[in-house]
Order: sequence, then structure tokens, then C-alpha cells
Amino acid sequence: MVMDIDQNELQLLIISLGDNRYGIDIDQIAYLTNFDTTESSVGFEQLLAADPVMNCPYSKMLLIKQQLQTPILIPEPDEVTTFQVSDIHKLPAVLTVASGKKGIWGLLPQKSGVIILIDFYKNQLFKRLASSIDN
Amino acid sequence: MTSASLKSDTILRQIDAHNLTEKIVAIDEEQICFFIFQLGGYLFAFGGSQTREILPYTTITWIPGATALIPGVINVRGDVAAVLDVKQILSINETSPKTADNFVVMVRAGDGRTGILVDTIVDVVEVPVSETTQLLPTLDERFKRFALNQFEYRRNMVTVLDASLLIEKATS
Repeated sequence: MVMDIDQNELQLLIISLGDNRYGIDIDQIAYLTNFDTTESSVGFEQLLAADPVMNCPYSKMLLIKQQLQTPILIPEPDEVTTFQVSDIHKLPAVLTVASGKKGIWGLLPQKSGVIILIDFYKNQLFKRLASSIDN
Repeated sequence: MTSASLKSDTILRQIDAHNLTEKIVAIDEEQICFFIFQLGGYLFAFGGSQTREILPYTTITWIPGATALIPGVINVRGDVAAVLDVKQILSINETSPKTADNFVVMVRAGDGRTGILVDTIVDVVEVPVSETTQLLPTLDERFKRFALNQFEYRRNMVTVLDASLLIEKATS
């Protein structure tokens, strides 16, 4: 998804996994449906290579635009919230490469902790899974 | 006895003159500010020019993709900084629980958004350049590639680390 026009706001779907909160750009999402395991689905924590969250309560499935064939299993979203683009911070330089491969592209500081922004189109595992299904 | 100086006065003047000379030497000699901290059983320091700020320990948010050398990020007054676990970088196996007694030392190296997790803050000292030494051959091999020099602090050797080299290692 290429965006040429500057924008001031970003609408994010917020989900929690363990102690972390993640933000997904609503514009990337084609559908949000109820959980339904399919062979091609992938767990959200797998994409992040996070420590498996015990009994991760997947209840929903995200279908990403142009990659509908690889649904992403997620827990119940916390909320959909609009944030100012000016509040988004780039990753510190020491994290840019390693976390960039997971699709992490920015951070939104909150009163306690930060919201981690993920772009699935930049997540290497997601891209690989999607392309292997295409082939 | 009255016209000639007493020998004792002469000696006292000599002592004063000597002390003054010593003081002048001390003022003239370049001092380097060091921030000393503890990691496990070892004392380390950063040069004052590399240290920007000391923050109390706060919740660290793990970021996907980060290696064990980077436990995550912290919120610094609305900005975000990465935190390095220098114990991991220096292969210091003595683990201590991360508590409120820990501190994060923000350093000027890299993009200026990097903090170093330390066990305890020990002191901030000014050391004359002549009292800093080249790395001693006895310095632990694990620390050599990140060390700049050493100095003595209360009969203990303090190893001065280069924050840039630590960041480079965490990034590689």
C-alpha cells in the first residue's frame, strides 16, 4: 500500500499480546472476522517471533488487503483509535534493522509503555508465507 | 633574631610556596569527568562527554526482532529510547533482578536514543589525565574490545567503556 499524500491522523486497530500493545493501520485490513483455523492462517505472535503466550486466546482473524490468502489470528482487539501522525516516533537506530524485518516501523509513546506499530507488508515471515501460497 | 627570619618561618614559607606550586599544577592539568557504575562485581565508567542523563529504572517494552542485547525500549518524556543490556554484551553472567535500584544511563553515542542498563550508580569523579592508564594486561578479555582506558578509584580499577562500541555490538 503506497501512500503519496501526507496525512495527519492514523487510525489503528489496537491489540494486546502479553504485556505489549500493537497498532495495525486500519487501511491494511480488508476484513476482521471471527476465528476460524485454516491451513494457511498464521498466529500473530508467530509473525513477531514473540515468546508463545500461554493459551493465547485467539478469537479473531485479520485478512490483510492484497494478501487475503494468509489470515492472521489475533486475540480480541482492544479498540480502534485515531492517533496524530506527529505523535509517532521512529525506531531507535539500534532496532531499525532487526525489528524492521518483523515489520515494526514506529512507536507511539503512551502514559505507560508504548504502542508498537506493525506493517504486515514489511513483515518478512508474512511476505514469505503469502508468496509461497501464491506460488 | 628579629631582623633575620626564623628558620621555622622560612620553612613554612617554603611549604606554602611548594603547596601553591602543587595547586597550580593540579589546576593546569586537564581533568576528565567520569561517571562510575557497577555491573555485577565490576566497576565501569563512561566519560562524562558520553553520558547525557541518568534515569531511574522504568518499565521496558520488548520490541519484536530485538536481540537479547536489547531488552526493549523505554518512554523518555514522550520520546522512545532503546535500552542495552551491557551485561549481556560484556558476557557478565552474574544476573541480578531488574529492580527500582537499577538505572538507565542515556548516552550521547549513536542516534542519542540509547540507554544503558546498569546495576548501581557509584560516583561521578574528575580524574587528572595523568591518572588514567592504558589498558592493563590483566584486564578481563571480555572487556578489552569495548574499553578505552582505566583509572583507580578507591583502590579498585575502573574500566572506561566506549558507548559507541557497545552500540555497534548491539546493532551487529
